Order: sequence, then structure tokens, then C-alpha cells
Amino acid sequence: MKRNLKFWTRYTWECTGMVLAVAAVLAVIAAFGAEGLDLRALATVVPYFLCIGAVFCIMVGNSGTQTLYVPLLLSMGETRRNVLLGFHYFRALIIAVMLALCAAVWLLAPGEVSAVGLRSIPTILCVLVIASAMGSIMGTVFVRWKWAGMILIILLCGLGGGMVGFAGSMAGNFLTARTFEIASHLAALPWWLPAAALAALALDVGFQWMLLRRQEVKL
Amino acid sequence: MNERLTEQKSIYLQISEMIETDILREILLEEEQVPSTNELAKLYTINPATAAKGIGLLVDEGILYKRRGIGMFVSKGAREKILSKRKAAFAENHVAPLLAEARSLGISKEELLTMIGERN
Amino acid sequence: MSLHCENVVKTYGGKDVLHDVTLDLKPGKIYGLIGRNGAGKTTLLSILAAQNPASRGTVTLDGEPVWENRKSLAKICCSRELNANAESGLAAMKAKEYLRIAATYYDGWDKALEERLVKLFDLNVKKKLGKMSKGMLSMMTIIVALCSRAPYTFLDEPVAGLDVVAREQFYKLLLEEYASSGRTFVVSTHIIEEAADVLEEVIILHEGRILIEADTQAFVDSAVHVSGKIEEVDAATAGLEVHHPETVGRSKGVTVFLKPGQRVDGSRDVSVQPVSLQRAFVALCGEEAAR
Repeated sequence: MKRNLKFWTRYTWECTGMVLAVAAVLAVIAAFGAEGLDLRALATVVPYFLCIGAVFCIMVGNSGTQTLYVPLLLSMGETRRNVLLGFHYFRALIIAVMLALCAAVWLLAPGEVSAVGLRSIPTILCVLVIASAMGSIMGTVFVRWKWAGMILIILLCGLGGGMVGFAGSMAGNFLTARTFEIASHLAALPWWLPAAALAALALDVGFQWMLLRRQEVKL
Repeated sequence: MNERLTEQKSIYLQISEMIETDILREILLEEEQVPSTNELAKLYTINPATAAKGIGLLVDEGILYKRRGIGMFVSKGAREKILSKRKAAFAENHVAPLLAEARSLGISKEELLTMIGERN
Repeated sequence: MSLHCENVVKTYGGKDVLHDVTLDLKPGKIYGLIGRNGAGKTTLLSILAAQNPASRGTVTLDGEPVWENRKSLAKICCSRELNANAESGLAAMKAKEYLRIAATYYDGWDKALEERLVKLFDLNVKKKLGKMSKGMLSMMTIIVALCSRAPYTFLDEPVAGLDVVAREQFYKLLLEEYASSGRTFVVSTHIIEEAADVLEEVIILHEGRILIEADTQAFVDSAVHVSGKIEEVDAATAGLEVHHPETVGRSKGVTVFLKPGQRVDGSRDVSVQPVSLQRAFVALCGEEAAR
């Protein structure tokens, strides 16, 4: 288990770096789009950029992990059970890191937006869990059904990319009054979101274990 | 010890013959240590078990002996032993094929002896 | 004490790739797994290392199952032939990264040996695997295998991309590691020439079946090439296991595999010559190609 923790923890930091990079790019776009730069206001919306980056990176990262690291670790003598446990440890850890970063920023830069931001953390958790499960399912599908998986991944990556693009174009508006409006929406946790998150996770784990049990190592 | 291996004969036989030849040529002296199995294995890129088999053959014949914890050594009188062994095998290994070839070429015994005489 | 597989069958898409393979790998030996391309060598090794599930049959190490058993798996390293083509995720991975992960996952990883081998092979580990030549990828396979220090180590086609000098270098390294550690190695290869003297035991896999599992020297010694006039050859080899006949005019050559106690009839006017492992292998597995 020690090697598992070592490998997946390191991988978590690498992915965190990627998310921070995406968030930084969005923050720069937002800063340029805003009339009269208010650093404090910018800081309070940075966690949202972080979340967008996290959704994107976790989705792409998980599908990549499923196709690369899972077979690689199997080829190095890890059991399927441990590979699955390690992978889920990574997924839990990166979501925890993201939530912690968001919370930290909002606590350090208090304000109207920050207050609703802190209240929207459960929603963000659900969204990240769903993104994580979707990414993993994409990877599993790709491993099992090469071409169908590829098409699905392209579609979802397009979706993810579109989202980032949309977020980028919106970034300028983020510092306007609408920020609060959007943030408030997020703060209200609809009843079905946790249910959807749980369902996605269950579907993902079941599907993953079903395939992993018989998976062939092809590198 | 620096001959090359061929495919015409079992490797372990070649190993033991090479060591014998080195003793005959006094490249290896009596009461001197011979290379270890692993050294031979690495030198010829062969399995250590094969090298050990070749050495074992010489131990069985009393040409090499083992000093516990140190390695293999050339026995006293090893050279003499190899000489008499090879002389005994000379007729079979070298004269017989010579005569067979001479016969198929129609070379008479007298001609053959003359040829040998001229060689010196 | 052994790595044992019993009645292993592997089926891909309704086609049997391995038929009922039973094998016993004893500790402290160098095995050669030889076979033509597509004979099932990689499939067999990956099943022995539990990388792929067998369709039927069992694999055990010292009596314990290998499948999903970390205790057994920790003693096995199956260093794969890396195939870093564009569609493989490995292509974008740096060699350094691959070695780092291997070092994390193999408990006995020998870092000093890794550094020595990287230097010896003059490998640029900052390079991506996808940008490496076939020879460099073979070197990666070799480094992972030797540095893993696993008691049972499989090398899948470690010499396929190497030139003859590098191959000799590899076999010397393998012997050095073998002599100092007594680990069990299984080397799969279709390049037999220099391998023959290194491999203590030879396993010949042909079309998913084990044809031969024997002491290499004994197997090579049991094979002879008999040639001469057709009738003489036929008479001299009557009742023996004859393979790979080749005739030119009145002359014929065959490879004979002698069972203990058998011999070629010496009273006939034929030439009897020893054969190399490579020739013996071609005689056994190359019959369709010769026909």
C-alpha cells in the first residue's frame, strides 16, 4: 500500500499543478476583461476558475489514467484491487485539495461573493464527483471499446473544452454584478445533485471493477 | 583460454578441452588457480551451469581439484595426465581420419609416409 | 518451490492462442522461451505474471495462486516489450518517468544498477518513450527487468531491437546478475543464435503449444543433421523422428531428433553432423515455411 500512496499522491500534486495553470489562465483573461482591476474582487471569483479547471482536468485526467496508469501499474505487479483503491484514493484526494483551495481563498478574502461561495462548497463537491466519475467512465469505455470510446471522449472533451471557452468569454463578466447572481445559484444545492453524484460514482465503480477484473494489459 | 567456441561440439566439452590445452601449453601451471565458473560464463557468454559441467569433467579426471572456499586448481601431474590421454586419443582422432581421406583419394601408405617425411 | 502453470488455455475472440500449457519454472535457472512471432510467447508470460487473465487453468507460485495475490506478484517481474506507438499512452511518457514508477512499484529496485545501466547504454532518459528507437526501448525493458531484483523475472523480447554487439552486452549483464543473485530468468526471444549458450533450459512454444521443454545442451545434442544419398539417408534414419527434409537431386538432408538410446545407423554411407539450437528450432517449427 505504501507504493500506492507514494505514486498516487505524487500524481495528485501533478494534477493540482495542471488545475492551477488552467485557473491562472482564466484569471488573467478575467483581469484583462474587467474595467478597472479590483484585485480583491478578482480573488473572490478565482475559486470558480479553479473549479472549472478542476472539472476539465479531472475528466481528462481520469480517462487518461484509466487507459495509461491502470494497465501500467498492473504490468508492474500491482493487484487489480490495489490499483482500483489507489485510483480512488487519488480521486478523493484531488477533490479534497480543490475544495480546500477554494475554501482557503474565500476565507482569506471575505466578501459577499465569498460568503455564498463557502455555502456552495457542497454543490462544488457534487459537481467534481460527477466530473470524476464521467472521466473515469470515458476511460473505461475507451479501454473496452476502442473506437466508440474514442468518439465519446472526443464529444466530452469538446464539451469540456467548450465549457472552458465559454468560461473564458464569460470571465470578463465575472467581475460584474452577475457574479453574485451565478454564485447564488450554485449555493442552492438542488436535492437531485447529491443523488446524481452518488449514482454516477456507483455506476463508475461497478463498471470499472467489472472490466478491471478481466482487463488485459496492453501498453 | 581465448579460443572461440564453435557449434560443432558441446560447449562444456570445448570448455574442458580449452583448459586442458592451456595446461599443455603451460598457460596454466600446476597448482595454479583456474578461472571460476562465473568468470568463464561471462567470458564466453555461456550459462554458468555449462561452464561448471566442463570443469566438473576435469575434476572427475583428476586434472583439477577443488580447494574449499577458494576455487579450482590444477592438480600436480595434470599435464602428464593430459599428455598421455591425448596421445592415446591421437591415433583415433587424427590418424584414422587421415587414413580414411587418403583411401578415398587413392593415396598409398608409402606416398603418405613420404608426405609426412617431407613435412619436417 | 516453483512457478507453476497448469492446463492454461487462452482464447481471444473464439480462437485459442494457448492450448493447455503446463509448465514448471524452477528457481535459479535461466530459461529461454523461444518461438516464432505470434507463437504466444508474450501471452504466456503475461498470464504467468497475472497481467492477463487465463481463460482456463491456474498459475501458482510456491503453491499459492498468483492472480490478485500481492505476495506472489511481489516476487515476479514481467518486463514487457515496450511498444510506444502514437496511439499508446506511453508515447508521451518520459523514460525517466517510466523508471520512476517502476522504482516505486518494485520493492527491491536497485537504483545504483539503474544508474549504471542508463550510463552503460548511453540512454537519454529525458526522452519520451514515443521518440525512442526500437533499440532504446529494448534497453528500457532490460533495465526494468534487471533492476527489479524480482526472484522470477521475465524479459519479453529484450533483444529484438538490439544489434549484435548490444545483444552480447546484454547476455553478459544477464549472466553477471544471474551469477550474483541466483534469480530465475525467462527470456523470450526469436533471435536464438547467441542465446543458445546462455539459456540453461529451453522452452519451445509453437502455435500456442509447448513442443519442447528440456535442458538446452541435451536438446541440442539430441538433434543431428543426416545427409547423403536419398536411399541411404532414409535407411539410416528409419524409425527415428525426422524433421525438415530437404532434397536436391539424389541428395537428401534431414534433421533427426534422437530419443535416449536411439542412434543413426552408422553402417550407412551418410554424414552425421551436429546442429545448432537455431537449426534444431527451424527444423521443428519451420516445416510449413519449407513446404
